[in-house]
Amino acid sequence: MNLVFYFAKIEIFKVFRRRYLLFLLTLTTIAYPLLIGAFISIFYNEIQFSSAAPIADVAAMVILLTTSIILLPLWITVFVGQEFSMNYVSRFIHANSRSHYFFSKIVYCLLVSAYFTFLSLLTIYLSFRLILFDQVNEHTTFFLQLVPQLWTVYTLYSLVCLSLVFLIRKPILSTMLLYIIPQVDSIITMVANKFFDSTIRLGPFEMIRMLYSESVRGYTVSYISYSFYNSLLPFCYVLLIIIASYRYFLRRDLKIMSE
Amino acid sequence: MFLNHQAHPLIVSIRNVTKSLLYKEILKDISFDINLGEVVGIVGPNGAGKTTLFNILTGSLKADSGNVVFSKGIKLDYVITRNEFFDDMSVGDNLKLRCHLSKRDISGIENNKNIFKINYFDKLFYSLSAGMKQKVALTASFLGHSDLILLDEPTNHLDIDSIIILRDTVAQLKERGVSFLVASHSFSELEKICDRVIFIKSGKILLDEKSTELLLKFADFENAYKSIMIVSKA
Repeated sequence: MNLVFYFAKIEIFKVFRRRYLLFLLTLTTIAYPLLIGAFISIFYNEIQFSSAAPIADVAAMVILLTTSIILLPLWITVFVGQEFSMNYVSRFIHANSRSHYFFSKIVYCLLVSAYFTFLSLLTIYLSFRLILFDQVNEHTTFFLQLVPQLWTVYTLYSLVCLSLVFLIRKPILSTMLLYIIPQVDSIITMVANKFFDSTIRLGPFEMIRMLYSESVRGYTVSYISYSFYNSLLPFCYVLLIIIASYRYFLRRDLKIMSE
Repeated sequence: MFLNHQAHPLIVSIRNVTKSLLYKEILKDISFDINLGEVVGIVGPNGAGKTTLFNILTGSLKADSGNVVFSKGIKLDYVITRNEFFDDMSVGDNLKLRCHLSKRDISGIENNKNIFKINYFDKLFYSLSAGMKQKVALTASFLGHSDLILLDEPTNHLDIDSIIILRDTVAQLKERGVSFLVASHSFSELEKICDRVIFIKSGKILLDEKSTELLLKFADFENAYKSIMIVSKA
């Protein structure tokens, strides 16, 4: 437990002391509610008309936007990728170990996921309260259920992003791939649905993003929690990816040449 | 793997280390030891394998074969000719982060900042000149009371005053039992600080000898280097 706090302390220290990241943090904190709030206000009427539980579908939309428009992935690729390109990883490994570095990044993913969970909840709450004038107080139970669900989805998604960064080790290339791969992932799923009449999801990104949406579909708010945790496949999938990425990181050389 | 520090004056023992990068053999069966309080110089042309050897010692690279055995409980620090600081972080915060990483007390920064007269703690790292960055890197390596310090081209970008300060600091720390492995192209500097010198070429050790003996045979390191390199070509 002490180790988790030690890693968390170092990660928070870096975010608040690095100008570039502090700027990104400020920008995200301001721009995220505005951007997502705008989407909610535009699509709410459509959702309200077609859904049994509109607030649950709004939450699903927020998850899709957070994971797809380079918000959450950007925080993983830029931050961790830069640590590889700036040789910080070598210094960390020298002071601690490769395992410690890997686990410190898992702690980082948990922190980033918690941050985006907070932003998502705040955005949904404010959008309903200030833009849609809905009675949010009626949905207290829903919000309480949503906290662990959002955090789980964001954590799983960021862990897959993290694995890709550990594989690529370059911030720009990782960001590009994290933009392309989920699109490919979606196309494969769409093709599979259309031609084979199958709802199977092969890629991790699509599987995680749909984890919440699938659980919402056809249910009322009170049934979401049960359905969400009923699907173990994405959890196992991410666990396998993380283990493979960890093993690969332990074996592979870091940056090989001096500048 | 560790050596028994109490019974043995060895700080680190490198045995039969071989390393290939991109299918090219960079280090070929390298073996040598570094003893307590010893300053070992390592000299060789570009691409000889010096930095690769340093990277293996720091753990960034893994040797294909052979062993690097450190004495139990020793602390190692290094200055390698590459930037390991965050450009968008201030000098002071970079040094604090270094202390946090190594779980060291940040009071060491205050004690060591006068070595190179660093008075630009609030400046962002990217805004520093190359010489200033090198001073920060050297100060960082002296923060943690290490037992072995690896210095790769430590005099790069330094002014004359700082080179003299570095030389004096190495001598002081050596008196306290700190060992150094120094890679440099400056023969004059190595002559002044090294107890032993290793000539390396194409990943092979050509010579490993005490400085005093080498100076007796060849008068200075430059002559020794030229003679050894001529013999190796033949």
